[in-house]
Amino acid sequence: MPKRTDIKKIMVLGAGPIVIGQACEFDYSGTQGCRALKSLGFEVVLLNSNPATIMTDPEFADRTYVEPLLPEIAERIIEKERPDALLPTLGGQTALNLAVELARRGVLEEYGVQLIGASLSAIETAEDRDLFKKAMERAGQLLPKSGYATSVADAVALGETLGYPLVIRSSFTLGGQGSGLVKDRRQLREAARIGIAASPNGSILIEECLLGWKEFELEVMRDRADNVVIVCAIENFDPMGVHTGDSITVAPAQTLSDHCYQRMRDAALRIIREIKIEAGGCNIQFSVHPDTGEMRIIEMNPRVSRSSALASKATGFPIAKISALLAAGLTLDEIPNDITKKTPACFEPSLDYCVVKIPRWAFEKFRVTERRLGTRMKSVGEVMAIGRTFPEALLKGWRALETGGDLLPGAASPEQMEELEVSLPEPNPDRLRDLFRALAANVTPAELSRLTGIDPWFLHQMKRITDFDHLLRDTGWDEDRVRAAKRLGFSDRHLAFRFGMKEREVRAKRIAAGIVPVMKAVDTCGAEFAAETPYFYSTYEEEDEVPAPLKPRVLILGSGPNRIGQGLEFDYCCVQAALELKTRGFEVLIANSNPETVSTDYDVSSRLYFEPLTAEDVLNVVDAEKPIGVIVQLGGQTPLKLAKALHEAGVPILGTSYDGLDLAENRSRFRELIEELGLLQPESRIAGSRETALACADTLGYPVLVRPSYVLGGRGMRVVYSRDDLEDWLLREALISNEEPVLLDKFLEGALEIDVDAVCDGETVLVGAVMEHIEEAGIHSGDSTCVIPPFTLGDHTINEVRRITATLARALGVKGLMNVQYAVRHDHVYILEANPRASRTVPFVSKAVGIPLARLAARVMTGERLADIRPREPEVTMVSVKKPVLPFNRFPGEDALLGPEMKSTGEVMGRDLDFGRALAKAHLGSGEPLPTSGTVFLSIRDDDKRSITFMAKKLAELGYGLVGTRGTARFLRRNGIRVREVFKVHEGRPHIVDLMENGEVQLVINTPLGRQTEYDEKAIRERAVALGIPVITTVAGAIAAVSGMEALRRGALDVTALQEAL
Amino acid sequence: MRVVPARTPAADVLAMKPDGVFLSNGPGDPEPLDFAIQSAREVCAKVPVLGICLGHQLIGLAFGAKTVKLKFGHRGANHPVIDRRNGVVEVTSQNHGFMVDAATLPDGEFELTHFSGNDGTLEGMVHRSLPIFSCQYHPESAPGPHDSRVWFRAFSEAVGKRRGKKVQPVAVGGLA
Repeated sequence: MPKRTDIKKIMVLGAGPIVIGQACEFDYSGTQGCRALKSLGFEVVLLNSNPATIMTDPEFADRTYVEPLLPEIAERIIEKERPDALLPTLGGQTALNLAVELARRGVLEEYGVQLIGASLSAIETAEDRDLFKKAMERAGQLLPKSGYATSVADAVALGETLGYPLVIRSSFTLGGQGSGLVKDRRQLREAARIGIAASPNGSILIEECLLGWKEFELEVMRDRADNVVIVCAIENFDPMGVHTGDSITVAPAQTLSDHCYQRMRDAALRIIREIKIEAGGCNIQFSVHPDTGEMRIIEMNPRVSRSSALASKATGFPIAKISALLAAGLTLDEIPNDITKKTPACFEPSLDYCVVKIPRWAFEKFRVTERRLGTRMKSVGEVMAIGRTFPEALLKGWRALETGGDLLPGAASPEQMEELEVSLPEPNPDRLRDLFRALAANVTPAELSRLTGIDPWFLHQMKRITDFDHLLRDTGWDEDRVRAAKRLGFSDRHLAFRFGMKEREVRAKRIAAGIVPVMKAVDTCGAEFAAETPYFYSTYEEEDEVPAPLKPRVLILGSGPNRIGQGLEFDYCCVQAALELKTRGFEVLIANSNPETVSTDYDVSSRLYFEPLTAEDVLNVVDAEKPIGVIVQLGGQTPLKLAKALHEAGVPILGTSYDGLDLAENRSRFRELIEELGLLQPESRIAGSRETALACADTLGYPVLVRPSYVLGGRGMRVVYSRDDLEDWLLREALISNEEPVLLDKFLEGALEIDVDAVCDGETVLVGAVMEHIEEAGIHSGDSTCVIPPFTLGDHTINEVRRITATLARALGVKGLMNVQYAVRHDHVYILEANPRASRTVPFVSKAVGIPLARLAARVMTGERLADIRPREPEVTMVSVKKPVLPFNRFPGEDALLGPEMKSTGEVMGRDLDFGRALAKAHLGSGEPLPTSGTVFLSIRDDDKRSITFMAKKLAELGYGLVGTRGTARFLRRNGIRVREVFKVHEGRPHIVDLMENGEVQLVINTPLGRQTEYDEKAIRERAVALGIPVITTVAGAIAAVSGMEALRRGALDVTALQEAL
Repeated sequence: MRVVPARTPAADVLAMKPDGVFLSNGPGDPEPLDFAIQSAREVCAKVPVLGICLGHQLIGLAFGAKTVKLKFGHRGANHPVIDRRNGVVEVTSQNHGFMVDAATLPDGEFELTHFSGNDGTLEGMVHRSLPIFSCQYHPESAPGPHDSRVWFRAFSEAVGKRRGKKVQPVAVGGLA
């Protein structure tokens, strides 16, 4: 059936900010969807609050609204744009929930908007456990035994009848939030309380525990002619009990017989038909008993998902794009397979390779958190690797994580083995490493399978690796053996370690012996048809499938797995650069290992290399393609760290030279440069021992900002206020030596912080924007709320900042992007950091001022001059606020406090004509709406008390009630403000936490007393996070919030598309 | 059910008074198999017949069509086949290097029902007046998806009709 002609304008919903469980895979799907719909001639209206996304670049939709994903806002857009249809299946659970809400409120009916991709009833059936259960019964499928509870008492009663252990699931939540495994009544009570609170409809499911069963996932697509295909079967390495997002997964499924697989396939067909997904995709999770083969349906999502992104990358079948085309009315047989161009999309991809996905966690950021994995997703990113065999893909994936996986761990000692026997049955982030250690210590796969429930097949494959490693240890360099090792996936680095050589010696010797990888194509059809594939992976075989180049090639290195501090923002820059350079006569190659990203959509580059971002693997791509140069400045620290190895291997680096990068990175060189230029920097010292550190701090005078010498996302950074503080920090961070010194900076307390993103071609400097942070200096720039244009800085300071930026850019020889962070105090501008690379704020700035900075940078890096490009001057017509989104609710017990170490996972943008409204929108978008009425709790440290008087007065005037702890309340009363006094937790009841539990507090403003926060404060912040009450921990943030609340009280918020000229 | 060797003459088969004959798959070029083509021609005139793969090619040859070698053989368990009658796509198991050349079939004798989604070649046909079902791919699908079991249903219904009673559709694997 051809595309629908009854609809012309389609509104697409994005997924909002990156949070754990909902990351940039939805930018990938949304971007694909928008492109597909536009290519069919539909007018596309897009709503997404996340400015870092590629989909919100103005070119991907006709109307782009970077506004909060809320029913009121969506309704306003629908009223204004009058779309014919709403497509909610590309934006994760957020979009699906929003669509359901719009339908329930009657908005869709009122404006005659059709829901496409999935009907309301399909969404409801899939999402509501009870309806789903009935549907599965009709389809003849079994679910785990279960029941519902809407109260803790019900939950306990049910738990007693079903028997422990049990799994708790909360309805309508993403990434399994509000879900968990409980082993007794006490745990059930706690989980039920959290789950009921997290569920929008207040109900939870309690079910039979399938711990130890095998887990599979099928990606299914159906068109309106009732054709169904299975795109991919994914098998979880970890058995049931670990969230799929936290599991190592493998495609295609490895341990199923055809009989069992076909049974699953038949069930999938019945399910998608029963749920009535009429034109789109879904994923279905299955659980299979390892011995009896009994099968249970775990869940189905009537939308694209993290797994569908993975499946798309694993197979070359672009699920999101096809979903959008199906929703627009096409059928699978009418859509050509992108890769072969000649065969239709109504087929099931066959893989002549193996794909392994491994999650990456950020537990090091959240030290108090329990490291055990369960049914609540905790990983922040993932890598995917492709190899001809499972061992090869596993080893490639493991090193792609960038957590030291290029070296295989040694055997566990007998004492360590005793510990492992206890820890292995509990899934945790180190389990893969521990399995290798146990296998190397000659523990059998059968024994490990018994301990972990992992299928013995996987463990036998891993044993092939450890056995071979044993062989390597016993012999020196042997050509045949090295060849076999490379085939099995061993890194050069590991071989170097085994042979006592340097990595580059191994590489040179290997190449001399002709042991080099070939590049194989991902072609969807196991080489059955000629493929015009732009999509490759390396392996040690015979036949190379890379086509002859037609134009000069540029290699862009991506940013690897998402982590806190390095994610979507950098992918945005890579994608922008790739799209730009493709139009300027280059063949653009992208190397990346992250399946969630847009950059690993083979449509973006001329050729995609799905490879780990290590020196070895990147050099292999360079050897295969011989590009004119490599771009390392767009993907964050990952490619930047490779600059040295590339430079030493004689590979040209495009843009800022290696020396320029080093000049900015090397502290002493940079310090000399700053002095030479006559600029200011906070005084600093480097200490190689504990004693020197303490002495340096005394000289600098407290407070002092301390950090390990190598940092990413401010890892381990802290402001210390006293000698005790510093000693405590040194104790915790432990690592201090002359090789790994500690850096100490005089901390400029109370200074304003400013971020600048600029493009330079070595001569001309274009400042994208000067951003002012709302929080004062000391909060990591990734965690602070920032504003364009600056809202308190004078023109004089802004001009000074611009001047210094230009001076620095020229001095560093920047060709491409540069980000500088400044602190301003007493009219002095101090340079905190200068990074000659893309920054986290590039997409935000580009959207706020309407200048595609990364595209300009790409042109500059390939030799163009800004004077010739003549970009238009950045225009600031509206106020744009970027607000971080923090994952504290995922990590119970973690203090919800901001500091120099970055903890946010994503961000939203609020955009309006004035600061208050823009900020209010940012709060709405981040899921921490400022209250429009109710009571504000204030607990302010003495230093800050004076600064809050005005703000408190304003709140009272606006009609908010105020409560405060004794000190704060008495202080404010003395200033004539009515404040109700409330007990601290240890002072008696009802205390502040009681008030919060009772719903009597709508906003918490609590500025902490320094590092040693009182138990009280931490408890308050923790409860607030658990209860979803917004918490503000800085005075500056509080003052800004009040202006936002004032704006909200003035009336409803309006919306503006990025494309609207003002 | 009885299985007989390929060279069994049609007369012997018909002497067993079968309610239907199933022509199985087999290897290679079907054209030299004149004995089998002859048998196929004779049983098709008398009883319901289902042919798959080589069996399909023999039916085509029996009715005077030509078979030709495919430029690229069809192998694997993921081939889309489109049923022209209703637009439904079946994902099928295939394993054949030859095909019945649709253009050489006698006019109007067969309804050409199934075509390959990949290269558009003939994948299945049903006789317009006789209970003859002819399928190039593998509806028995072992290994492979169960999308095409409807061939067996159609055949068993035809067999049942001949016997004057309703035959329960055979349930194979998951789908009937």
